[in-house]
Amino acid sequence: MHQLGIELQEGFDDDTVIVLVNGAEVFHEEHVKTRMQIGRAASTSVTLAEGVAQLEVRLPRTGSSASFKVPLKGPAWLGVRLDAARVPQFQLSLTPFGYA
Amino acid sequence: MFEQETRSAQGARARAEPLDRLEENLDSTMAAIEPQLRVTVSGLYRWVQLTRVPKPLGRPGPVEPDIQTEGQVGLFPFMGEELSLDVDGRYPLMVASGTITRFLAARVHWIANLVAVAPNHWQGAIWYKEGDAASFPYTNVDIQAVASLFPGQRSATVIFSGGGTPQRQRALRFAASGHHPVEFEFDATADATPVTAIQTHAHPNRPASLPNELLTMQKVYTRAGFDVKTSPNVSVIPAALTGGDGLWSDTEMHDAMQVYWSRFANVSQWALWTLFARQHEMGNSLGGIMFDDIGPNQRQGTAIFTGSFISQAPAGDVAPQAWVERMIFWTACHEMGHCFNLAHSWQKSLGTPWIALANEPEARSAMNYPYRVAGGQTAFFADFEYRFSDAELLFMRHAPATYVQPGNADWFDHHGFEQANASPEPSLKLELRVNRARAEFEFLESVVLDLKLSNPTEQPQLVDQQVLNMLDHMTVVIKQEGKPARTFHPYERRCWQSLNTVLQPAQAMYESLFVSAGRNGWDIAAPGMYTIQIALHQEHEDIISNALRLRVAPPRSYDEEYIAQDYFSDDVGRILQFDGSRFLQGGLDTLREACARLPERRVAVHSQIALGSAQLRDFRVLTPPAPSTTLRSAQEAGAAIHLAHADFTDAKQLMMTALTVAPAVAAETLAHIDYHTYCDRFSAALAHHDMRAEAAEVQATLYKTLAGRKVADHALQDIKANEARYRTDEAAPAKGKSATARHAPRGVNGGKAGTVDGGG
Repeated sequence: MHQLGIELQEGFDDDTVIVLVNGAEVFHEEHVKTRMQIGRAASTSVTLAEGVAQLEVRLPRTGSSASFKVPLKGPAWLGVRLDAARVPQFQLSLTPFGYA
Repeated sequence: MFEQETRSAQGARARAEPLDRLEENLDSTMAAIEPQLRVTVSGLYRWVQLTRVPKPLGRPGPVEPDIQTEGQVGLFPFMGEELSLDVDGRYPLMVASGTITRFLAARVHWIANLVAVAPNHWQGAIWYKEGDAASFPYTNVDIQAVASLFPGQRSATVIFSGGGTPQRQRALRFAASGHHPVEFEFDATADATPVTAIQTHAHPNRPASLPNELLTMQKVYTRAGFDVKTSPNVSVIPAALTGGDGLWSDTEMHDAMQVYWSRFANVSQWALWTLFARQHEMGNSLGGIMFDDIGPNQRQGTAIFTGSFISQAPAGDVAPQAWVERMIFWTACHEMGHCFNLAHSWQKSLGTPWIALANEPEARSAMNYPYRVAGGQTAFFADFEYRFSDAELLFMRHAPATYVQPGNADWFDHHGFEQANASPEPSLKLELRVNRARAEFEFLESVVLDLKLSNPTEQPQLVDQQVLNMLDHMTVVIKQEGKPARTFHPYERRCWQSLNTVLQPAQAMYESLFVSAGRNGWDIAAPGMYTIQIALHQEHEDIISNALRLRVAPPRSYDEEYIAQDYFSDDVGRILQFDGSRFLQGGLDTLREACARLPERRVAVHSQIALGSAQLRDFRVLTPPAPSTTLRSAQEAGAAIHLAHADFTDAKQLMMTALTVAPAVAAETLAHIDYHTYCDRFSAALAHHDMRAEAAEVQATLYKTLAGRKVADHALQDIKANEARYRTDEAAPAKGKSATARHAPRGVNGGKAGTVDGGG
């Protein structure tokens, strides 16, 4: 089993955010907002078996969503940001994200 | 009074400058290695006319510390001017800026790019104005400086010209080498390892040209353009303030700042507090934070966590101790930059910069993350010279001081700007108008702007027919007083085929813009003062509109407050934007309730238009399937499209009430352009139902209403012609706006563009 850290980063502004991993809801919060001075909004983590996990991020208010397949061979961190069109984009890292 | 102050100031300035300040003032980017004797002229120049103001009577209170006004107790700048000259020394930007204050309150801030025309002589165009710009029509500046080893003998003469007015000349005396003063106070907890200086060659991964020196935090910010002082008051902050867990929350740090920062006050001041502590409650992943985004005076305090990832050198690093010290030093530079309202390098286009900004994701700036650039922290530090980007320097040195000064503008509000690509003599002029004597709106009333783009030159100008419809090419900024500015994000984006048209001299094109609500939610809703400004981005220049200031009145009744709870919703915003819906039932119910409970208020006009427009014609409605977590096509999920028939009887009643019962009010609240469009749409629908006489009457009302509001004659003649055609059984006039949305196509030669003008 490996830990996957899911970190909501840039672009969130009073959003309702739902995160599903392999179809199961693991995060559901309203009023998610990026703190611009550190570029981070919220985070959660899940423990998953080795293999490929399907992660989906939904923003029900705007109707946008996006999915990402995470190949897990060890601990990993997935950064999620919203682009200019407010569509989720993903960045996978094998080391923790640092903020300042 | 003035002479007395001047002699005193000169006496003080005649003393030798501190050695580190003198070093920074030598005109060489390699001053630390090879000092040269040419003295720089960059810095702050000041002209001030002082008047004595009587001290208020009453009980004595604490004197608020203010670096700017030291030595001026009892004196107030009746008229004053400042010039920031930025032409030599460290990282010269070839820019001048200034602030002119008149009669205590009126103020204008300007910025110009400079070109050297002779030794110590520069000229350039003014590209930015803020404040009372109407009193400052100048477009060009000419600056001559007198250099001297003795600061008291330095001066600058500024000549403003252009703008169709006589030249204006002012001589200013040198005041300081930095563009702003600032005082740093560094405090720490006992378990932290503060770093406020590093030896630049301690780590081998560095730029080859980097001078070997002991680099202090003060030097970094002196080179950025500040006159830096360091507070002698140093405190050890007890870990007990964390509640025993040793981890700091933002609130705990804010409390500590209030107790231990010797200069703490709920005012804006050129001073900031830096705390070195072990770890934040967010854990190892937070290296530092400008925690002070609380309350009305933000950006005064920042913290660096030396027990976080910034103290963990990569495995195998050749100089791990130097790596850690460098990383702590970088973090402190970075967090203190946030106190001056600098955003991260990749965030420049986000939030609410007043002028659209480009991101700088690869910048070797203190405001970038070393580990975020291509090649990671190794690539970053190989090129990093412990400095800020030119855009950041421009902001800190030359932006209006209120945006930069700690404790002033809220964090991330006006967080930066870059040079607007605005010409001193723009080829187009963009005006925002509201067609009413006073820009005041009732509570719940939609704010619809009339945009006018005109050609003020004597040459024809080529513009895209849809230039005012392409919101992708516009930055619309809305700022409620006392709140951060917000960028308006409309509900819709349109993609147009590019078709150019010629705008002749003095010709104009028009469009309306509904700005109350968008994808950001309701940008204009709560009572208060708002400022709206638009930058229209053209290929070669940015056209900056006037800053329109308007007031939203408080609610007048319980009914208004009650309806507001449902009214300021996303559904209602979308219905108003798209002139109706057959689907958003909750929003439609709210609009019906507004019509019933507030029939005399302007919200009723907008509600009737939205409800009526949707009933004027048949609609195709997509009935969605039941919610599901599985992504399927609408067809697979069983969705269906059905036809919702028009209800012309209901629509006619609503439109007639909105447009003809109180036509002057309708024209004012809908704005001229939209009022004209809705009347045309309604007339066409009446004619379609063989009610040509009533269609003609609507046109007659339109004519009379707009004539009473001094609309241009050629527009009125078009309306008269339409009325005549309806009365004489001719073919119906072409519809104006498309039948579904407020923000619809209309070019200079089509629809009503260029025909409705004046009024308000």
